[in-house]
Parts: sequence; structure tokens; C-alpha cells
Amino acid sequence: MRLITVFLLGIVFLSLVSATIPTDCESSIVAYWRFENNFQDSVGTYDGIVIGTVEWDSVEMVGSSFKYIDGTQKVTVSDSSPLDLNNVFTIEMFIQETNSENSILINKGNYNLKSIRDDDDYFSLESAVYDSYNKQWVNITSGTLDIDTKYHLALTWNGTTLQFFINGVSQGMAPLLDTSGTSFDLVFGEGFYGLIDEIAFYNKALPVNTIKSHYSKALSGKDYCESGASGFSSTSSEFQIRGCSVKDHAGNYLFGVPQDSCSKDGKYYCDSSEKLYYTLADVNGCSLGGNCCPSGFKCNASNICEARTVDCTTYIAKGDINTANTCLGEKCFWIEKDGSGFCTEKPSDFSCGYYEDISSCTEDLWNLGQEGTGTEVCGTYIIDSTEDKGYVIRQSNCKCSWIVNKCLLSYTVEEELFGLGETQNKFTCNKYYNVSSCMEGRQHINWTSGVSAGQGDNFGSDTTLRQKIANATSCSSGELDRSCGDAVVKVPLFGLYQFIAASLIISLFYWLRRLQ
Amino acid sequence: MKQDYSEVEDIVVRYGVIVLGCLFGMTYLERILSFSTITVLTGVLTYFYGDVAVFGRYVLVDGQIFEIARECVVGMVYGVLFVLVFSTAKVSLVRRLAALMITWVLTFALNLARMCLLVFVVKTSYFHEMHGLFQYILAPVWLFWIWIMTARLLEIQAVPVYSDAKYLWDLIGKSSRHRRQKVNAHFVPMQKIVILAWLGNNTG
Repeated sequence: MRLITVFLLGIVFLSLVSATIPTDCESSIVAYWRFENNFQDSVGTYDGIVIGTVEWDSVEMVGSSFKYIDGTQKVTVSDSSPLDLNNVFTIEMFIQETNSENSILINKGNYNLKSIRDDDDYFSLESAVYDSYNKQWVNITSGTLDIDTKYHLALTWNGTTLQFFINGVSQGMAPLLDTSGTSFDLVFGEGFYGLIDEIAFYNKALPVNTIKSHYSKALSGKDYCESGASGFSSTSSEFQIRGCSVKDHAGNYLFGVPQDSCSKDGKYYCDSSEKLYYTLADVNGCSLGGNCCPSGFKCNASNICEARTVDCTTYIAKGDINTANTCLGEKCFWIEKDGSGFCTEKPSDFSCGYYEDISSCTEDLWNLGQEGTGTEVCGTYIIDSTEDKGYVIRQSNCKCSWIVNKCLLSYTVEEELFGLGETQNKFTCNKYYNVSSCMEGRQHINWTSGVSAGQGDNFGSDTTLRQKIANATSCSSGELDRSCGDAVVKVPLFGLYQFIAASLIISLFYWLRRLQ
Repeated sequence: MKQDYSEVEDIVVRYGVIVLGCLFGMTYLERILSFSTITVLTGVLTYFYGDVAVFGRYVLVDGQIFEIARECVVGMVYGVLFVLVFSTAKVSLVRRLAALMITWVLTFALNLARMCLLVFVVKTSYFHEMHGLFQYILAPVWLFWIWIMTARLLEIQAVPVYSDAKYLWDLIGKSSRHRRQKVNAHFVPMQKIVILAWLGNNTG
């Protein structure tokens, strides 16, 4: 009985502990002070102690942030060897300075981050780490920064190079060969005026994509561990899509949108800083020049997506972009085959499988190899963080190919960077889509995928790695029911028929009552 | 007779309100309904989905755009209920307003529940069947149920339109009988006079 009690208590304890640990954090995270009205380390045991007035701000940063109001406050964390960062590391934090004064944002003796006053309205940041091999400090200084503006800072060391980022943009790098530990306590915000939030330490030099991802998340009010709709997001715990990613309400990855591009469904636009916008609420998508709008909408003269009043299929003339009431003039797609053609809202309702002979497949008049079903993955980039390698699917490598009497969508997944003398890892994914016709706004599609090794494929016998990357690049079989045609769903209820029916029912009711 | 005239006045006023309401009120009603439906629907969906974006009459939920058009806020149901409430005789103003309030609130709540349910199932294969079920089967039954429930709750006995029509029919019938009697009452003495005069002439 006692054993059972201990066991149950253990389970309760473990569940309580696991509830306090964020579930989607980087595995390399060592400490994370979120400043959510406390100074606790939310992943480790390195809790801070405040000296001076405690005041919080819940507006500017992520959740709440610690407010340094008089330059005398500071947060101290007791010395501990993991905080010495004498191996590869990353430090991240958010700040917003309100008074430009010389101050120290982070200090551990062997490394620090300082704010340097330029004048009343401007300041710069300096990161410094002591190189114990060369017996000298290694410094990197930022450009001029504005007060009352929030900045995301990240300092990384990969064992050879120190690099300093502000808002995901590198401020410079410097060689750093070795670091050493100190017995000093870790201090945050000595002499500082403003807000400090989301300080995190990692025992790994985070890739720039991850740093940008954390910056984007924090901008949208999410902490570094939270999965979000904008910025980078993992397709699995090991892969990331460069650009923006769209997720469903359960947080499952749906598809990626490359930088400065429109999503294939036209609902989203990803800008150069990997921020995701809804095209219905933003002019950036339409300003790309195409028709970056959801199905059923078109870009108007003011670069705003407006609802179509006429369905694309009603246009019988191809026309050109300057002629109104023609297919191209109304920003629809003209699809031709055997001399005749028709106008359609979006080519993604069709796939390469629509071509029935080798010549039409390879010619791809309708551009289905780049615009059709399944091409969402084209132009995206993934990082295998276990191998620290990037793989790219270039837009130009997506095409329709005639293989074994069928027209397939094929694209090449290739390693982006590889060393001198190394063979580039790459493979080709071939996907056959069977797309049913669009019935009442719904369409069933299923697809089968196959991987064929590229010439000089360096994966060799490592089919596991190749399959893993294939899965991450959507090179797998599956099926789904999806919206097609008019993407906007209306749910009307009451019309003339319902009015007549309701009147009859009510009349019948009163008539029967009268009979009784 | 005085009471009859006050009932006629009541009918004129009630049907006047119906005509004016239908002519001028529906546009404003639909605007208010659109705004309130989108606002409340967005709030409810945000609770379930977290991220819901609204652009005018378009609501983007879980990657799917819904248009909250005029047909979706079912302004016609509110209109029909308004007509039913005001075309029912022998109901005090307070009970009439209470009936209007109850039927409209019920309609709003049920329509909201319907829209939420359809949003939840939009990506499933049975979305169209469910939408059809609501539109063609449940919608007329729904209006009937709301009206009958409200009539029972507020003990409204009169039949909409029919009670007024019957009353007016009876009134017209009663009035024409009365006029005939009146004409007859005037006609008899004259007849007598004429007969007497004729008899007098012949006898005299």
C-alpha cells in the first residue's frame, strides 16, 4: 500500500514538474527567465533575486517584462557552472531602453552585454566575451539604436566565431577561440532604464533561422517555446521551413510560404522578415503584381483583394492583362489544350496528372508543374538541425515529368551547401496526383510519391536520412478532401422555399388545433 | 360598437407597423444582425480555434474563409417573426414586445450555434449534407418551433393574420346586415305611405 502511495505521489509530482516545463523549447536550452511576474528560471533551477523596486510591464513585451525604473534595480542569479558558458552558447533577450544611459544588460564576469549612451535618444549595444586563449576581450558593437523601441538581442558562439544579432540581423562577427568560467554571479540590468524580458541561455550556437524565428514569435507576443503561425515553424521537431509557415488550429503544420511570396491558396503573404499577413487585410500581397488573393477574390486598382462579382469560368476570351472582361484581364488563369481553352480561378485545382500524353506533359502549357496541385513545397527550404544542413527545393526544379506512362509532378531536393570535394546530397521526388473534379466546392485528391536518387547522390546506403528528408519535403503518399473552386464558404439558411414551408407548417398546426 | 372601432384601429396600427418595419427596418436590422453575428461568432470561434481573423464580412478560421452574407444572418427569419408577432390579435403591447424579444434571441442563438457547428465540420465530407439538413429540413421547422414555443409561453391564443382576417370578415358581414336592416326600416313606412296614398286616391 505504501509503495502504491509513493508511486502515485511520484506520478503526480512528475506531472506537476512536466507541466512547468515548456514543451516546445529548443532541446539545448539551459535557462529561460520569462519574467512573467517572477524571476524564476522556467526550464532549470537558476532562479533570480531582485534588488530594488519590483515593477512589471504587461504591454510592450511578451507577457509581462521587468521594468527598470530608477537605474538602481538589478536581478542576480547565483553563480553556477552551466551559466559560465565556457562551451558553445547562445544568449537571447528582449530589451526596450527608455533612458539612454551607460548600463550593463547582462554580466557574468567573463562575458557581458552593455548599453552605451550615444545621446538622449540613441544608444548602441556592445557584446564582449573574454577569450581565454588569446587573453583578451572580444567585442562586437551594434549600430545606433533608438530608445523606446524593443530589440531582440542574440549572442552566439560556435566554438570559433562570436556573432551578435539584433532583431535577427547580424551586427558583426569576431573570432573567439576559448572561454573560461568565473565565480561571479550573473546579473541582469545594472544601471539600466527600461524593460527586459525573455532572457534565454542555450548550450548551442542557434542557427540564424531559429534566432529569427524567436524574434518573430516574440513580436507576435509568443515566447521562444511557443509554436506560432508566423515566422519559422517546425514541420517536425527537426525541420524548419524558411519563410513563414501556416498551421491549423491544433498547431499542426499545414504548409510553408516562401519569403516575399504569396501562399498558393492566396490567403497569406510572407514578407522579407518572415512575417505572415492575411492578404484580405493587407496590400503587400497584391503589390507583388499577380493576384495574391484567395479564390473568389481579385486584386483591385488599390491593391486590395475584393470579391469577384463574375466567376472566372464565365470568361470565354483569353485577352490580356489590360483588357477588362477577359480571362487574363480579370486576373484569372487561362488553360489551353488542343487549340481550345477555358478560364479558371486557380490552376492549383489541377495537377500534372491532367496531361495525358508525353508532349503536353513535358510542354506544361498550363504551368501546372509550378502552379498546380502539390507545388506548395516548391521554393521552400528546410534545415535538418540534427545534421545542421540545409536542403532546398528550387522553384525552377519543379516540373511535370512523363514517367511510366503518367505525368507526374517532380522536384529535386538538394543540399544547399556542401564542402569542397564533397558530393551534393540530392534526390528527386516524383508525385502522381489523382485529382477528382470539383463538386460543390469540394474535391478529393490522393497522391503517391516515390524517391529516385539523383546522380552522385551522397546519401548512399543511408536511406533512413533520405526518407526523413523526403518526408519533411512532403515527398510521401496521402489523400485529402479539400475546398476547390469558390473557396469562400457561405452558409445561407432561409429563403423563399423555407418561408413557404414554414407558413404551411404553421397554418397546418392552427388548422389541426381548430379541428380539435 | 366603440370597442369594434378600437380593434379596427389596433389592426390598422399593427399592420401599419408591419408595413413600415418591412419597408424601412429590414436594412438596418440586417446591418445590426451582421455586425452582432460576426462579433459574437468571432468571439466563440476564437475560444475554440485561437486565431480567427475578420475582414469586413469575411471570417478566416483555420485556413477557411466564411462569408457572413445577408442570407447567413437570416434577416428574413427575424422579419417573419416580426410579422407573426404583430399580426396576432388580442395581445398586449408588453406581451407582444416580450414575444418579439424571445423569438429574436432564440433565433440569434440557434443561428449562431448552427454557424459554429458548420464551421467545425467544414473540412469533413458531410459538411454539405449537414448544411442541406439545416437549410431544407430544419429551417422551416425551426421557425415553427420558435413561434409555437413563444405562443405557448406567453399564452397567445389568437392565430396570426387569420384572427384579424376573421374579425374583419365578421365585422364587414355584421355591418352589411345592419345596413340592410336600416334600409328595410326606412323602406317600410314609405311603402306604407305609398300604399295608403294609393288606397286613399282610389277610395277618395
